[in-house]
Amino acid sequence: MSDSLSRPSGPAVVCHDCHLRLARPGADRGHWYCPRCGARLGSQHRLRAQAVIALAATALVLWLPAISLPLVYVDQFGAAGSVTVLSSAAALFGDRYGLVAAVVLGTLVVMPAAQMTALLVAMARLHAGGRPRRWLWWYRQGREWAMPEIFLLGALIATTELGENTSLRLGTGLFFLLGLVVARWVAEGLADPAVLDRILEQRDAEAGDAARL
Amino acid sequence: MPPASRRLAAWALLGAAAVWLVPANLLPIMTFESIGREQSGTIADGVVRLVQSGMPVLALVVFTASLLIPILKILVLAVVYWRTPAHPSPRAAIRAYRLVYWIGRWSMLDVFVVALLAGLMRFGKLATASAEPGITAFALAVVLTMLSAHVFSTSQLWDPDHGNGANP
Repeated sequence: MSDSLSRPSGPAVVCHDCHLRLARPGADRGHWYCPRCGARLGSQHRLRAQAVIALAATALVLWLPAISLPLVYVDQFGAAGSVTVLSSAAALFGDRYGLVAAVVLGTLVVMPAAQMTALLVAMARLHAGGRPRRWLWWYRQGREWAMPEIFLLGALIATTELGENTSLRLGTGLFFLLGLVVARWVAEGLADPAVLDRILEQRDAEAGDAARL
Repeated sequence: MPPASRRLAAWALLGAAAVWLVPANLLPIMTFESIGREQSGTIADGVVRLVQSGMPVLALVVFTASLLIPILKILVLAVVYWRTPAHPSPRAAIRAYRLVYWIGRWSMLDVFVVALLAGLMRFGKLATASAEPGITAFALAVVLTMLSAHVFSTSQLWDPDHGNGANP
């Protein structure tokens, strides 16, 4: 079975940023862009659905240990402690910073899992010939609202700041988090929303043709 | 939602974000307590502390993500919204919009630093760290700015009649 979905051709393209309707370029070489607003509208690269499915599944497997295992251990003169993503949100909640805790949970727990699940299901359905518009909407939201890479930089800053005065040891959760960030980053690189839009348009056009026959 | 209503919602969210950014920068975001000595600090204090600790690169990262970008994003979005619909230079406007749209989420950095430190330095015998109200104001300012950019329909930069809210 092929690992790639064939590139669409034929139907008019609507730019998702400026809504300009335009014909697909005849010869696709490299990326192609909206002539009016410059948005990327497609690419000659085929969507490798099975590779994206594997990466999304990997990210999902890494997600649970990344949020629940200790990221850093600290030793302050014999008093040892550690922190996980979940325990930091719980600490904020306990200190009556429920809104900040909700932001942490939303961006680090809910959205990464929702995004990778949506990507996994969407790719499987695309591969089976479906039109998973709702799942792809969730995938797009996750590109904006899931923030494990920003948290990773935050962890770097926090540990560097503390490292001056305290004895620190990196926890396994941090390595799972790093793995999640990398898997998600590569999956997003392969699952270009513009390419996904073109495939959906192609499927819509085919469904319209079939209905007319 | 009609394009005019989307514009209004984007303005309302941006206004709310600008209001929350004031306490976010004036109130302390975190308190350190070490050997009985308490020290509260704002976002700017955190940047100064990093410089004084000999970490200018990290100080620059925090300064950019927590001080520069939130203000820049609100200003850029306000200018883009102000001249919409039928923007006189829509191509430049959408470039600026796309830039702040994707850079803006990195402002969440300080929220995560505070969450981590507050979670980690919770039960220390000699040193503890705890969140302060400024961090709630800052998180609200960042989320509201992101929602404002999300609600705005970029197609209105060209065509005021057919905007339906697609985002990058």
